[in-house]
Amino acid sequence: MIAFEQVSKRYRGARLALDDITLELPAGGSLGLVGESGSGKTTCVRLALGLERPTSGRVTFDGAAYPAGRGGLRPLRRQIGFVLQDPYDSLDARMTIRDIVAEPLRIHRLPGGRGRRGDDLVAELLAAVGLPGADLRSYPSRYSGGGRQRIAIARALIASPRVLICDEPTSSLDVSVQSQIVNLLLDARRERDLSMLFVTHDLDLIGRVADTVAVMYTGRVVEIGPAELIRRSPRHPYAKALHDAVPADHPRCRRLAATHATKVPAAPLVAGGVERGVPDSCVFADRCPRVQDRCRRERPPMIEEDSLRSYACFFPLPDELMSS
Amino acid sequence: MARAVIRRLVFGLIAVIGVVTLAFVLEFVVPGDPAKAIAPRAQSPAVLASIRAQLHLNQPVIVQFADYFGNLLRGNLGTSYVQHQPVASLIGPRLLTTGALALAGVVAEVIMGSALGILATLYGRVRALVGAINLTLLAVPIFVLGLVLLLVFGFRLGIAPVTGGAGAAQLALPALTLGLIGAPWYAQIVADQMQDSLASSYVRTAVSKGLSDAYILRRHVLRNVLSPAITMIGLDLGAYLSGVVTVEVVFVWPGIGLLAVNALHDLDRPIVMGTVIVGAVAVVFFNLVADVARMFVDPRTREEL
Amino acid sequence: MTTGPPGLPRLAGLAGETPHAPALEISGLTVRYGQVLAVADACLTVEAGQVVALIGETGSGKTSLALAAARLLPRSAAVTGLITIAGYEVSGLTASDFRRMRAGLVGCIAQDAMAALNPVVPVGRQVGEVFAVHAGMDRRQAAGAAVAALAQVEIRRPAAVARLYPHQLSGGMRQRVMIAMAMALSPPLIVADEPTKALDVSTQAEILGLIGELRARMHSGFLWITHDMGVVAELADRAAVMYAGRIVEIGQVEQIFDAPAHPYTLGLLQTRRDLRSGPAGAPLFQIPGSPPAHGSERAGCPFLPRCSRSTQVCAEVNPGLVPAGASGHLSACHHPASAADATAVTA
Repeated sequence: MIAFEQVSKRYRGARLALDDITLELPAGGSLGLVGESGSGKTTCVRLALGLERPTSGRVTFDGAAYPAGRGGLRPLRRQIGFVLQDPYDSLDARMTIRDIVAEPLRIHRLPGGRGRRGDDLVAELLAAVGLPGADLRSYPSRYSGGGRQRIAIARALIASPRVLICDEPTSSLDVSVQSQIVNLLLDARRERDLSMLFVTHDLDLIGRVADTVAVMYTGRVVEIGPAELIRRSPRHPYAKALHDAVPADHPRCRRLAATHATKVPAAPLVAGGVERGVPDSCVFADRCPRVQDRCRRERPPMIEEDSLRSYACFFPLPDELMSS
Repeated sequence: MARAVIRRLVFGLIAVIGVVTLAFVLEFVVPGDPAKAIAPRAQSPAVLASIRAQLHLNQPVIVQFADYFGNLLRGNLGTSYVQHQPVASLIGPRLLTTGALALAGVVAEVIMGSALGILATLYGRVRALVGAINLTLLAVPIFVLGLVLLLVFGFRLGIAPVTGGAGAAQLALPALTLGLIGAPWYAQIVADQMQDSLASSYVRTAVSKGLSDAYILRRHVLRNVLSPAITMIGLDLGAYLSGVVTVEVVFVWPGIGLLAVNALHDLDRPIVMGTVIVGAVAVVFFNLVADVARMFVDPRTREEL
Repeated sequence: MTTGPPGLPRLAGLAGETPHAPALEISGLTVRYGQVLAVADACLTVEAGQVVALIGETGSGKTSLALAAARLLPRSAAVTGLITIAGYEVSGLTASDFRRMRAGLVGCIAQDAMAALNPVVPVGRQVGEVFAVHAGMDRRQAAGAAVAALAQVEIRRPAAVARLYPHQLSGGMRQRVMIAMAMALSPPLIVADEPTKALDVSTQAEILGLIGELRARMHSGFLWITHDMGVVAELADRAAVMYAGRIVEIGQVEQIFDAPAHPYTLGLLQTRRDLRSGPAGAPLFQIPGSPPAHGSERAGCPFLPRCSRSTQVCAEVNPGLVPAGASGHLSACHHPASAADATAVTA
């Protein structure tokens, strides 16, 4: 559905946000992007939404490259619904929720932008997202973070898109509300047969949401495959480090606050994320516990292990019993 | 940081060139014949023609512009039609007097405005009163305020001198006028910024470290107030230096503003253009200075474009 | 005064010069903002060297409780109840008396280090302030002490970092600076407000590791606010769960994880476990409903709208904290869950 073909994105000031990324969201499938700050996952979202253009490479929708210019992008954007992270910023505080939810109809000149028919549509959708009977003339300020995300989801779905893009939709929410919102998104996807691109830093969440997961680090994809497989036996040391960093399930199993045994060397101190690696080396080299000479001299290509997964590492981890 | 400064310098230069060009263009748009303005009683067309030739008025526009620009670079702003003296030498001393007034005015408004803003922030009971004062000062037209002050302190109480002139005693009232008019702006900035700071997380951190209220105000809050205040000061200095016309006229303060007003009256174009250019350069210059000063005060702005 | 934080004036009439007094003791703490009741009658103890996790979501009152304990609430907040830090009864002190003592009594680690540090002052000076103002050091000594403090929190090249401004540091570095500031005078109590919430998971892991090290070295008690059960599992000795301004469950951390009594606690644990090990493709476990709006008071149990175990008595009587099985484990529920319920989830 959406594909990144060797996409690189460089921002002003030589900041390389994406470095030769190749990803594919198959029609009807779900792709998860997992990474920490500076990994480039948000840049991918921006490219997928057509908000930015790649510096090199192509981003395609349904096989065709993203057109230039707002007018060209509009028919494409109609097919993409999105839910972003901050429920307090993503809704215009001065619009009623009816106008907010119906806005895509107006923008894409679909019936219902104004008037009674639109009201019914909006009310229907709001009920579907768990806000039945909500006052259409109310303002976002009346709703909690969870409520606002529901409104955002309704807005994302109203123009009957084919793709749903979610960028950390639950990170700003209370824990007890997060699963509700995720379930909403999963329901919506199933009922409408949407393709879904889900971006998060939460490894556990991505495992429950996406068929395929791409682990990103500093603008590159380091491993890609089924979430559970990557969790049980990661190949790339960064994927393993990420899993190791997740806090314990039970006080008996605590590791992080106990010892420093499996710590990954800390990131450098200057802001702006991790330092960019030299182009011809592995981007994780200066933090990798398994690093060798070759890693600093050559950039590891994506190696396909089997039809299921690939990784970019010269010295991948073998299968072993992972304590979850 | 050096790069940001240089970038601003370059933009400043471009701005000045733009203004100068615009001023030049205006010369052609404004009606009136310069030759007649110089020699109003000349009757013979030959005299007028010779004046025009002297002023190069018959040359192509580009040549005139090159002349004009070349003169500017040499500091030659032309010659006054009325006073028959180089404009530069007329503006020069006035620059100093207006400068003194501008400086005094800025000092007055910063002190009074900050005091009002700080009082309003720290003492809730005074807030409404300060608000009323601000509103009054904003609403009063500057010439009304000036005239009232002149009337009260000059004529009725006899404290301030009432004739014009550029002495220290004469500076008091016009500076006070400027100060009062400008104070509400600073009061607002100071109050807003202080409120933001006091409500901020880092002030709570400072409280949690057991620092005293006075220390926190001094070392943490006021420093953050400086940044927007500096921007405003730069704007004000530039604006005032281009001539605080109303105040100068009311108090007969011999500055650029008064000069410009009289020149307008006399249709003395070179002087008017001269003051426009000087004013533009002053604004650009002080904005630059304010930007650089702000970079010193607020390290976050150092990498900014 | 033989044992006690450095640089403290001797205040007459104060109890508690016992060397192992609890870091924090709260009794009957109530916090109101105008009409809104944020914390209702909370009682909590943090022993020296112990980490007590305060678990809750928006509107639970956890932040108000912690800020009240550190006396950081604005003057408009009405705080009643007894607060004792390291044996000193601080709830009765005047603001200025407490101010003189506070850096040596309680250190605070804020959630958002970027907002909590003054953007226009180098971080070294911000850490040094504590030493300069409270430990009577001059500028140079304070600067040296600040560098030492930064080294203690495992910042490499601390002298260079000390000269930097907050926006020039990464999130993890900033958080370490906050920790250094809070621990500067080795206070007996540290109040931490979700300090790892805004951090990447790997940075969070580093910070948790750091806390583990520091805690072994010092004997401060920690009141650690979080809503992440994983962080609770990693750090806490005891845990208190708050809901709608009340502590609804409290106990040793193993008790809470093995046999959560309050349905809300059970729900939180189930949510995390399901997320971690539930079957792919299946819907996530969710606690129905949403957290109550701030300060809404009603008769009966505040968790009623979301509870599957409720009966008539729950609508009428607000349950108080009662023992729930093992000693030291309390919960506020008419129909507490049992250990069987908890294991049924993990099966």
